[in-house]
Amino acid sequence: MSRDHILARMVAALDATGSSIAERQAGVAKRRGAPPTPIIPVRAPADKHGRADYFCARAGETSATTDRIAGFADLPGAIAAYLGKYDRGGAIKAQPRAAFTDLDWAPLRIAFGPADDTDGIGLVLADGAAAETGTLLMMSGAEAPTALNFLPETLIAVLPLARLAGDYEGAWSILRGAGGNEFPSRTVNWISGPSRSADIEQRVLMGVHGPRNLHIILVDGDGV
Amino acid sequence: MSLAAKNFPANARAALGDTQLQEALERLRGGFVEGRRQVVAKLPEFDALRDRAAEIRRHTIAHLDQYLVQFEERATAAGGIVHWCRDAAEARAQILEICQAADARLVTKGKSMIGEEIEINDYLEAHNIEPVETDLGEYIIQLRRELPSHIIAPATHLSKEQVAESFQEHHTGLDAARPLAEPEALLAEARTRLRQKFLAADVGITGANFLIAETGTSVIVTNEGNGDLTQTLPRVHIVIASLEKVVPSLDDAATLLRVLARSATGQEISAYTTFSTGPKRGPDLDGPDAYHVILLDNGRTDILAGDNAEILGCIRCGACLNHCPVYGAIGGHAYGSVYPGPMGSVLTPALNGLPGAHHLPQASSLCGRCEEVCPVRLPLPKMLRNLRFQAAETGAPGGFARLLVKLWAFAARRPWLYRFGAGISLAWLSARGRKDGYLRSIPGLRAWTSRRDFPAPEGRTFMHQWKSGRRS
Repeated sequence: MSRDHILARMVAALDATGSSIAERQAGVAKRRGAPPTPIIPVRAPADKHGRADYFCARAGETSATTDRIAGFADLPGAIAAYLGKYDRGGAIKAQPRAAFTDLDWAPLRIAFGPADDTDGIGLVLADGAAAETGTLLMMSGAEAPTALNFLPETLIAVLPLARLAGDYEGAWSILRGAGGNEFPSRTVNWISGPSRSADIEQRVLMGVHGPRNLHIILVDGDGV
Repeated sequence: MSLAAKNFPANARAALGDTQLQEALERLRGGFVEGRRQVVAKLPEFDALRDRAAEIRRHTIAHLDQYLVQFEERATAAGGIVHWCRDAAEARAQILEICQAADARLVTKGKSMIGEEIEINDYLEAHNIEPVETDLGEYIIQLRRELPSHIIAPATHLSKEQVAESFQEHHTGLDAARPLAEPEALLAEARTRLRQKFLAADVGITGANFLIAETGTSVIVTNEGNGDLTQTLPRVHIVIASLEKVVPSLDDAATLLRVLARSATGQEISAYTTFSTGPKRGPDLDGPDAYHVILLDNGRTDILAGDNAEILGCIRCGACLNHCPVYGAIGGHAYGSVYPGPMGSVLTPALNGLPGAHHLPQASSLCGRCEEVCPVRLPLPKMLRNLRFQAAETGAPGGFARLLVKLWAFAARRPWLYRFGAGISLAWLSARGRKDGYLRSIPGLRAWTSRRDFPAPEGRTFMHQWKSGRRS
């Protein structure tokens, strides 16, 4: 069987370097028990608002746009203003979660559910974020179809400030503690800016397969 | 992996005379090299992160059996199916079996160097399954039936006019007079074309930048989002990864991600990093019904047992290509392998055997820039030297080069002869360059002097000057 064959060759090669299986097992257990302390870049300020500002600056460098609102009640208005400003019309496809379904969306047109190719505007809630590079973390699940992060031309992501960590390790912790979903979910998407490619003559262009526009709305109150 | 590495000298000569290629290589220097410099300057912790990244890779390779078994156990517990494959043929057969079991007609592909290594596209085509590359660069070279010329920017050798030609030829049914002069138009056309493929595909194949042992997760990094549509929309997701892709934990992956994109494209992070664990779960609204991981050996266990096992730590960022003066002069295709540049010159002979690839370790000035920029601090020059030793032991390079080295060695062991020979050579060269201190040509070294002048020696050997008391 190929598995046994490959493993036997691996074991023989590693044994020849002077380590035994027992030593390797111990080495792995030791590192798992006491993993090295991550080297975390000193970047975002520790206070909530400083961190949010830092996140917005980094997200801006990835060509995402950002906005801040006080609470979820302000969300439909903020989205209407954003779509109006860039003249992006059409219906919104939103994740089917209470944070969105409970809001009063009129006059915006909105539907809730999995994505399809006709969706021009997607609306999603971030499960976590890392300020260090302006990165959003999205878990898949019963209220979060993965394809909605990728199919629409414009993606609007809502980020409650309580879910914004300074760094990647902090963002993992927020996801682990989120409850409800098993961690890691089938898919965890880290999203840092809109879809891009520089494959033609090294010129960076947006929207090659995924969203051309990424707009992130930070919500001050938790409210989710 | 088919190999044209034995034609390296002729390929390199052709590449140097290819003006269009030279323009493309110039763009690469402006893009990736300058981009890396800028993001590294913004991260004071970068060198500490590289030390840690190197430690993670060394530790993992030294415990590879343990971490792979752990990965297999966790991936299986999450509902994934792990297949161990000894070589390219086994991997191809396994992939075909999965595709046929799913009744697949159309397969979308995220960018994968392992896919190139095992030449999966040709194999699927031969079995009446249409493979479609979805990374824009890979898609372009698939249309042109070319090898990638760079491990992260496969079409970097092409101009936008060449891309437009390929689209004209292959995107039939569109107005032939449509404007395709600008990259924006090419991108929009590719988006429309490939969107249909994403939606219609039965199976999606991606590579893996990392496999995470603690969770049984595969990780892909893209800027386009093509890998995500590839692995989310079809019924079956197949991950193809070589053995060394595993890392212990999610935190280790975070450390490696901090150095990967910065070293590769000069971005702080790529637009999309995706962690996938098993197939779609009960309440999930989308995702594949089945999740397979192909673990490919194809020579890796041989490398693990050899002198250059450190190359297994490579995370395929491409920084050594971008910063290599040889790659920068000739581009990727001259190497005749899917893995070009310094990492490729180590990996290709290790995977395919040194005969046929013995030119590659010579294709380096050993200037050390590759090691300087490597995010996991691989000693690439040392590994290239190891291969040169091996090549010398097995008789390659042959003929004239060996004769010259033997002559030099003969003289070097006889100081009186060496000094005598050096003395007359110097006197002769210095006489030739007397006019302005430069040599325009040297008989036998025309390849060198046809493009540059050589400073003429001053006329006396170092030993002579030392003896005559001139010591400063």
